[in-house]
Amino acid sequence: MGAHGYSAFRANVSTLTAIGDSYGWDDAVWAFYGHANAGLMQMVVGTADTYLYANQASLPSGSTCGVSKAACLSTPGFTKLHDVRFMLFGGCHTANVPSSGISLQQGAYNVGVDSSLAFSDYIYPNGAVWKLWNQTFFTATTSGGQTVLAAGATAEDAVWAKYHLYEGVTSAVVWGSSTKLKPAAYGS
Amino acid sequence: MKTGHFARSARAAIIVAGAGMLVAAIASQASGSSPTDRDPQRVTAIGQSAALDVVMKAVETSSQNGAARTPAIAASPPATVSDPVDGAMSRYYEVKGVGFSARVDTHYGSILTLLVPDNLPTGQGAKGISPEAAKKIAADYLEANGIPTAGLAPNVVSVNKGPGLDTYRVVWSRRVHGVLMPEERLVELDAATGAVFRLHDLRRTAADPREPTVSEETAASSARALVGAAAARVESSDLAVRVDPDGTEHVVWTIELSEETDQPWDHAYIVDVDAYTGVAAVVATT
Repeated sequence: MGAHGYSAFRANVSTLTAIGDSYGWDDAVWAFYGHANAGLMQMVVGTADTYLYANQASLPSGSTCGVSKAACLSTPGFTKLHDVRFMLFGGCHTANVPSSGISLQQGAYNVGVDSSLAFSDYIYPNGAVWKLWNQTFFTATTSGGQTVLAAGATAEDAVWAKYHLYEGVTSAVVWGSSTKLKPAAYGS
Repeated sequence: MKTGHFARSARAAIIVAGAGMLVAAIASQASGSSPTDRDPQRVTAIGQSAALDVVMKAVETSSQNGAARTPAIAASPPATVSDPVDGAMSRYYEVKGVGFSARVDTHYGSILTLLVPDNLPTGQGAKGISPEAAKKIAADYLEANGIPTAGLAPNVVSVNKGPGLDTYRVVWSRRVHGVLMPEERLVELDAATGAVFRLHDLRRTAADPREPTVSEETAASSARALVGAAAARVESSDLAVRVDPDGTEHVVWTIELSEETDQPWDHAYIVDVDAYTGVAAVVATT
């Protein structure tokens, strides 16, 4: 994405503070990759086990947004999310609504994120299918100038032609489907 | 005499060398420099310009089908056509133009994939097409493009891609002894407008398999044992023909397993199990 007007970087967040700081980086595009389930994504692997949730209602009882191991899209201190143009929730079942609370995509929408893509099924982030899906998706949104919905469909076809497997990528769910990432811009 | 002799010898040597090169070239084509070159269903039979022609015809059909939303396609050239690319089931050209992207099978000349993004759902309309109507639209679309479905059975699946983004995937396929054969046609269309935005046409044929000897239950047990997850749930399973790069066919159970962890997310695995030998292999893990 760096070649298309975005200042791209990769962050392996290790603490809740780092997650919070990243909200302050004025990001236009966020792509999260990690273990996940309906309403949550694991942000830190290991002893910290910090999670990103949609909102307070999505948290386990006794937890509070912004405290200890719980980051929330709705945390008041994380004020920059309305500037985000697109969020990719690259984890299993991230499109689904948890038994308590709201989906990550609903949470992103509620705080002003323009568009998001998540998955309603298991996906397999360690494999070649997922790698090709990602490469094709971001190439389609940048070089190709496609909408996020079209880029997802383009990536799906690339995976099917190459591997004759989907490994969950057909379960992509898009909010803000007409959003484009080209030209580079913040969210509206 | 010597001169002549040498001349004849030299000439003969050249001929032999030439013949040797010819033999070597033929052998190379037959045995191939890579496994995929040995697959007879990857032998290139159509050129790049023919590939472009077949795509343009289908794009025009899509344009007519979704006329109100595809103004750019009529003037879509110049398009680009790639060199052949090897996929799991076929060798194909990638064809890209304004308003579409496609892949054309280099052996069969069929459209492996076609996507017309302008015909994707916009989220503006209600789901106005019934599954039966979707099947007819898809069948008409295939007929208009001369794509046969004889021997294949259609199935309509409703898909939601997001708020207001409903589609139908109409898939023609066939099974032998429960084994999904490779040949497939897929048409996907907007459930609100009926506009076709996706086509898959996989022509690869395979020999009818004999009845599998490994049951689904046995395959699932093998899969669980392989990943060390005795209590894992079976999320999905299917039985299908798989093709090695050189064209060798296998019949394989694909078992998707999941198991709970001490975290709020599950582990999942995809395991292939040979339907005759029972040999299992992990394909993917979360």
